[in-house]
Amino acid sequence: MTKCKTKKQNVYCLLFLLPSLLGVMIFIFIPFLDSVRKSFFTAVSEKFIGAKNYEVIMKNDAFALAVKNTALFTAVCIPALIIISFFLSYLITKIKCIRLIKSVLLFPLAIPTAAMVLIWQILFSDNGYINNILVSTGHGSVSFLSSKTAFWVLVGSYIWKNLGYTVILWVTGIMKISGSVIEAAKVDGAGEADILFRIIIPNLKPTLYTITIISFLNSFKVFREAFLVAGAYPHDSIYLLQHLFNNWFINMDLDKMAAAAVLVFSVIFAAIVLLQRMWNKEE
Amino acid sequence: MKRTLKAAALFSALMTFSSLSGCSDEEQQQAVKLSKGGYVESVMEVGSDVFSLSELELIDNKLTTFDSMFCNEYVIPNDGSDVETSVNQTMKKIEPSDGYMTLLASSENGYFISRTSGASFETEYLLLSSEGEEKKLDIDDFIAHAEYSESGRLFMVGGENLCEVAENGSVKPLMTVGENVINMDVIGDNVIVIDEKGVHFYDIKNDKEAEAPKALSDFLAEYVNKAGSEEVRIDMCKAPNDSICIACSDGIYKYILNGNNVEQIVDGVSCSLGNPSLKLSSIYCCDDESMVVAFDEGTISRFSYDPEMENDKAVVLKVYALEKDEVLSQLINGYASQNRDVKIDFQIGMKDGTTYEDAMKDFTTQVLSGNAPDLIMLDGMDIDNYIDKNMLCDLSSFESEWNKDGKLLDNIVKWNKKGDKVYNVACKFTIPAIGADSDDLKKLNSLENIAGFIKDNRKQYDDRFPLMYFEKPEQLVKTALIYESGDIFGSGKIDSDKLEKFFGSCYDINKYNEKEGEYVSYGYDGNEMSFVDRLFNVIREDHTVAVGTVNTFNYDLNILESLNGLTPENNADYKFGTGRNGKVFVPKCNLGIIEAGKNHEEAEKFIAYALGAEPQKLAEESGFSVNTDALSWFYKKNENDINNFYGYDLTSLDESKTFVFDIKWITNKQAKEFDEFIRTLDTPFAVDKATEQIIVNNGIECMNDSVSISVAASKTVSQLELKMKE
Repeated sequence: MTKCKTKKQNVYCLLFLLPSLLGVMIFIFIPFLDSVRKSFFTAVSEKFIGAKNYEVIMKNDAFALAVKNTALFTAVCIPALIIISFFLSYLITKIKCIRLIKSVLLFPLAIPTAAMVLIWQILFSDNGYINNILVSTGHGSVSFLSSKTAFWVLVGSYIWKNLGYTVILWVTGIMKISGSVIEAAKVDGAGEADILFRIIIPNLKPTLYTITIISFLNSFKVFREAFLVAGAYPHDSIYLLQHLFNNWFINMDLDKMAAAAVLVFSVIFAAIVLLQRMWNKEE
Repeated sequence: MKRTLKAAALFSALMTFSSLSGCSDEEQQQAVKLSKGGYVESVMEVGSDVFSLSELELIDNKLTTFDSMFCNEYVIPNDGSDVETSVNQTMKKIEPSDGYMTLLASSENGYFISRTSGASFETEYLLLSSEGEEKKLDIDDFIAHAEYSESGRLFMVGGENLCEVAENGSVKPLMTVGENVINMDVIGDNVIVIDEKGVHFYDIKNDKEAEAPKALSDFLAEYVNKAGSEEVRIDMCKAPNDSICIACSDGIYKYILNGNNVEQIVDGVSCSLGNPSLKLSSIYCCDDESMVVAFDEGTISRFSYDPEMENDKAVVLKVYALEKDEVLSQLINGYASQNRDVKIDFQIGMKDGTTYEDAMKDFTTQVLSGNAPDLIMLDGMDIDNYIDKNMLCDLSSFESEWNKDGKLLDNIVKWNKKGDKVYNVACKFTIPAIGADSDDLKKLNSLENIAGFIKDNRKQYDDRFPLMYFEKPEQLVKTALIYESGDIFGSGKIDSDKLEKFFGSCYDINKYNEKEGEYVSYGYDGNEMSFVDRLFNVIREDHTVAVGTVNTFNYDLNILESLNGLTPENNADYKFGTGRNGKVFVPKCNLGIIEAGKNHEEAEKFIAYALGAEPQKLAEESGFSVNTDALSWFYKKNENDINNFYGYDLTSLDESKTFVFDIKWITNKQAKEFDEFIRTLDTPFAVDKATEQIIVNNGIECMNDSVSISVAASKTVSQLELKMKE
């Protein structure tokens, strides 16, 4: 009887999952399999060429540049975001008016990308406010958006936009930690540093995992700002994978796109699996 | 209850995905299913010497139109016989001996006329009865539109008002309208005015402004917006069963008053309405429901309903172009008119503000989803990229069809030949030229020379008007690129030093062209100025220069070859080429067939048609023909004096001198020299839009002083190198 009930429940579960599963299959999984297939054929004439597309993209300078920039951006932004947002959240938990601060922190997320880009251009363009200040104080102007500095402008933009959301996640995680544990630690003579490093941080590992994944995915969305500011061919320092994919699509280099997408997916998938395994090990 | 709730939850979950419907996969060559019956066009010509035709009106029960400037009257018979032409003696009697007269509106009872004196250039407006009685009106505003109602009331648009002119000559304002009135029509009891703000209705029965029907208003607003900065020609007339017929370049539409939609009854693509070389004047709907459309060029089209006409189109030809092109539009219109069983689906990528990137993404999506066009106009596209991807068909396989008897300029048509294969053919071409005083011209051999020339002359002659006319900095960079691209890209790589010199030259030209602090309105509404228009300034002012392309015989080459006849003498001269290279040409309307298209056969026929002699005589202002028979036809126009224009005058910019000359069609000798010259052209200029945009954007930045010349050049090099690395 119990077995029957479980089987029946499983059927119901499957039925409820089916629409969502179908959507994922049709819009994500099957197109991805098609991309894998396309990576072994030419773009328009669909001739089988084996692994030649992979060979081509491995030797492609633009791909190498884009991968390097994207990896560098991710390697710089995510740790910076995590560290800054954590310490900010820790400070926030110490003060009152947390609800008001939470609302304020979400403002950057609510601002449309196009509006934000306009602000960056007003601030950072060659005739922008910052350069005007620099010139009027006797310094030379800096080409923020057309030189290597563009990379740091993009990093700043990413951190500014995602800081609030990440802080809220941290604050939520910190608030979840039982107050009695911290009280007990205090009674046992633990100082603030001990509480932070031995109680709070260890208990925030699930939050850290979530934030890392979300920040990693959001790091790819910064392409929108980079594209709106600098167009399809920006300065080398902010030439990201999405720029390359965007231009390849326009030029109908779909074979290269498919091969690059499969490669990038493999790397990201491996990274996530590794992270998951490390996480499971620790647990 | 639980089961019911579960079932409801499952159902609503499934419904969220109910929009996932399969995409229908249409066959390219499907028959377009419509019911039987449609309108058949028959075309008549009233004459070739027509200035413009007035509104079609029923006068003495005869459908009549007039030549607006000359007193010729044309009666269009119902039976399809020839148009009856006569001189309207009533109007002829009041024609000024000097100056000119324009008919603004006509009716059974009389005419509304403007008369301009040749001496004082003052314009007066008058009512002329059919018996010849004149009544002068006290009107100061310029009247662009006027029409009589069925009951004989006269309405006009003057200034920013719709007014009525009473029989006693008094003018009564009725309603405020916009500054730029596009059209005014009196239909039944309503006056309909279209301006830049929208559509206005005036109820003449109740003498008050009425609300415009939404469907009609939306349709007209959409059409006007779509036209953008191009001239809008639209006309409306009353039709049976309380409906209105609307004629425009998209075709003829019918709207039933107070209805919810506007229905297309004639497709403009396959009739005279879609012919870009014809300017719509007016439409009239006869009692038998046939429609007569008049064009300013003297063409009259009658659309008669044939209930047995088969509307099934056996074949669909998909044509794609990145931007609107008059040559291609003309060719499509001509081809569709001759092949009624072919439905042409013409798509323009960059329309309604769509950017180049978005247009290319749409195009890519189309190709990948199996909906590739059959025929493509490759101007602005990366042709070599498509050839590398085997996207284009080899046209040499059927060259015998499109190059019959070898009557084409191979050096132009097959400018992009790859070995033995031809993947695209040019249907027209233009030739860059430089104009200046003959002594100065010898020294102008590069853009750098031209920039130096302008800079030196601005310093020496600071009170001059612009020394080289161009509309906007963007136009300057695009034109300059024709002159220097060979130098910048000549070695196959981008030469950054030469690119920096290029930007430096553009910067100097932009900076020193005009006197500092002065703004000169060119008065060309942003449309591209021809080389000859710029050369006129070389005639009118010393030490100026003209650059641009020579596109046609009628308003370009004839004038250039007539320069020797200027009185008083003038040193203005010109030379073909870019200074560095005298054999440059710009191929236009480059057609190719997409391999993935489904209708190669029809696309091949279209190309053969496009390169034929008769179609090559059309759209002459957009480039020279590549068909030698068509060229011969143009050369022989010197046999008809009607193609000459006498007494063209140009006043110098300081108004102290007037130059007069006769613009004669090129002589046989000049034609022969020109013909020999164009057969030697061997350097095509063709740059894809992405590259052009990178260069233009950086050029504009440096001309605006947003970045220095060296930064603009290094940015451009870096962007172009990145593009090439991809």
